[in-house]
Amino acid sequence: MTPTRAPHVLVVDDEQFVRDLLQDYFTKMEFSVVTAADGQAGIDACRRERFDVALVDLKMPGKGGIEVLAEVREIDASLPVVVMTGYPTIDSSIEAIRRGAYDYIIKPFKLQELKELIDRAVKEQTLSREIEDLRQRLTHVESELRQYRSRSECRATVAAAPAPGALWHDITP
Amino acid sequence: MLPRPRLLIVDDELLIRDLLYDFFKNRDYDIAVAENGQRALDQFAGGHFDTIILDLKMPDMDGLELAARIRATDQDVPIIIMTGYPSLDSAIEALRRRADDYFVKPFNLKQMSKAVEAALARTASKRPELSTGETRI
Repeated sequence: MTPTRAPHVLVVDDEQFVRDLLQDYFTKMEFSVVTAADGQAGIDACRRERFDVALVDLKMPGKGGIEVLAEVREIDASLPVVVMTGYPTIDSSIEAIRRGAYDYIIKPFKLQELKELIDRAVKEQTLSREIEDLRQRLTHVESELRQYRSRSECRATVAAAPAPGALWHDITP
Repeated sequence: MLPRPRLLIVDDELLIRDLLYDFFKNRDYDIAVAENGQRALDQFAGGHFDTIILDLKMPDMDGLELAARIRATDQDVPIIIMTGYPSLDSAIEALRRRADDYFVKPFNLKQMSKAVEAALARTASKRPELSTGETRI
C-alpha cells in the first residue's frame, strides 16, 4: 500500500480570485497547491512535476481548458483532470468526455464538495498507478517465463533426439 | 490472427440496432444486440465485450443506470453513449461513469466507427498481450 500523503494539486485559472480562494482553502486542508494563471503555465507545471489532481478552468485567454486537458493527459495519462466552468455547455462537456476528463464541475461550487471530489480522485488515481505498476511487473515476469520456456523446450529437443548409435542403426541395412 | 472485436449494441429502437449491426458487421466486428437494459446486463454477464454502445433513453432502464451497473463490475470496458435527447446533465453524468464518447442522434456512422476504434486502441494499450504458447496470464 502506498502511504497516505498530502495530495499535490494543480489549479489552472485565469481569475486571481479563484486561484487565491482554492489555494487558501486547500492549504487549510493541508493539500500542497501549485497555481497557474494560464493554460501554458499549467502545462509547463505538469512537465516539471507530478500532480495527483489538476483543476482546470474551461474558459481562459490563450489555451483553453480543453486544450490544457488534452496536453496534460499526453504528459501524464493517469492524471485526473477536473474541468471547472462558469459557462457550461453540452458541447464542452462532450469534449471533456472525449479528452478523458475526470469530472466537469459548474461554478460556483461548494468547496466541501470539491474537496470530496479531490479525495476520491486521488484515491482512484493511487489505485490506478498501483495497477499500472503491477501490470508492468507482470509483463516482466511474462518475458522471463517466455525465456525460461524457450530454454526448457531447447533442452527437451536435445533430450528427445535419438542417440548417435540408434541413428546409425536406423540407416544401416 | 487476432479475434474480431466484440461489440454490444443496446437500443430499444429496432431501426438503430439494425443500422449499427449492418454497419459494423461489414467492418468485421462480432456483434451482439440487446433491446433493453436488462438484456444488455444479461449479455454482459455472459460474455466478454470490447466496446458497448448504448442508448440513454430506454423503457426499462436509463442508459446512465446501465452504464453505472456495467462500471460496477468493469472499470475499463469502453462505453459509448448515444442519445436523441442530449442534455448537459446527462453528458456530465456520462463523463462521471467514464464513458468514452457521447453521440447525439442522428450521428455520422463513420464518426461512430472512429470512436469505437479509439476506444479499442485505448484498452489495447492498457492490456499487454500476456501469452506464451498455451500459457495465458
